[in-house]
Amino acid sequence: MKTITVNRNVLIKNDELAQQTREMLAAKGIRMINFLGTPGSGKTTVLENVLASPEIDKSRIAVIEGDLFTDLDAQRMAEIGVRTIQLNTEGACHLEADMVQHGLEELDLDGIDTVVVDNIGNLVCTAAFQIGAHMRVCVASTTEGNDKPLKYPNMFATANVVLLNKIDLAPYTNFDIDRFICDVKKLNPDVEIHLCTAYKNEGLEPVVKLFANK
Amino acid sequence: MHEGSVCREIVDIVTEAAALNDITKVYEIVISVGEYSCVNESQLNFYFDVMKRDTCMEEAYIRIEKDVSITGPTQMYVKTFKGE
Ligand SMILES: Nc1nc2c(ncn2[C@@H]2O[C@H](COP(=O)(O)OP(=O)(O)O)[C@@H](O)[C@H]2O)c(=O)[nH]1
Ligand SMILES: [Mg+2]
Ligand SMILES: [Zn+2]
Repeated sequence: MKTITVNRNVLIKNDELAQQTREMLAAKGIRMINFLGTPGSGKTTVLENVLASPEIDKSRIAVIEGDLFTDLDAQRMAEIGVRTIQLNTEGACHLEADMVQHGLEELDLDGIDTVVVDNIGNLVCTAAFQIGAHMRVCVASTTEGNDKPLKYPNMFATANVVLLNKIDLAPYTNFDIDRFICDVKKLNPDVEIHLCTAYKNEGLEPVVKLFANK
Repeated sequence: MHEGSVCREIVDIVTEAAALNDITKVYEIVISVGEYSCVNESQLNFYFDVMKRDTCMEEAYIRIEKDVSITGPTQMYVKTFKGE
């Protein structure tokens, strides 16, 4: 009987493709931002308001919309005049590196310096499957309950920016904002956390800045 | 989380490593997972019992070990396997 040491990442095929994408984009001077969060937390609303801001040059930004079956969010992006393509996962609950790679092939990247991926609403697998992004933004909201960082630690531990959205609704819930911030910081001391009310375009300045500054 | 495709990857990784090491019978496969991994052990075993048929893993089982030193998005590794 022999013991063989392997130490191989189970998702290596996906992660190698993701790394290829990351390097391919970097070589073209493009950064990719992965927008993650629960369904309905406000990912698409944040993007709509941020991309419509006068400080943003929309011609430099492209959006990849992930959705199970529809192109409703891609229509919302097209309405504000941003180059968009739709990826439908046909029921799969996350995007994988190969889907995003195909999406990028379809997208005209001429003049683009930022690609945003509006990922499938899901806190589990979207955290585990890398797509080749350079940054993760997680949109959470006050109607989800403030136990989400503890229940879905991988999502909050791997995010670079966490937006807590729907601050307008906080008074109507038992959401404990301080507790939420404290739980996220415990998992991820370097994370940036911002509070916002996306549909009223309040508190989105840090995201506008993120998109405006390369 | 996607135990079916995770299991397929495990079977592929072990098949390849077993062939490289002249191993025709695998007995135990150790998977190390981070503290935040979302793999469901009983679902993984269910898929493994189906997928191991007619492979060098026919008599093998999977043992999952937590490893708190695993951080970042990658939370699951095929660590070792025993065989002859
Ligand atoms: N009350 C409130 N509703 C919001 C806010 N942001 C988004 N919404 C609403 O929440 C719903 C889901 O938003 P959407 O952006 O589609 O979420 P997504 O699934 O994460 O893309 C929509 O009806 C939005 O108008 C907010 O700050 N406050
Ligand atoms: Mg959306
Ligand atoms: Zn999934």
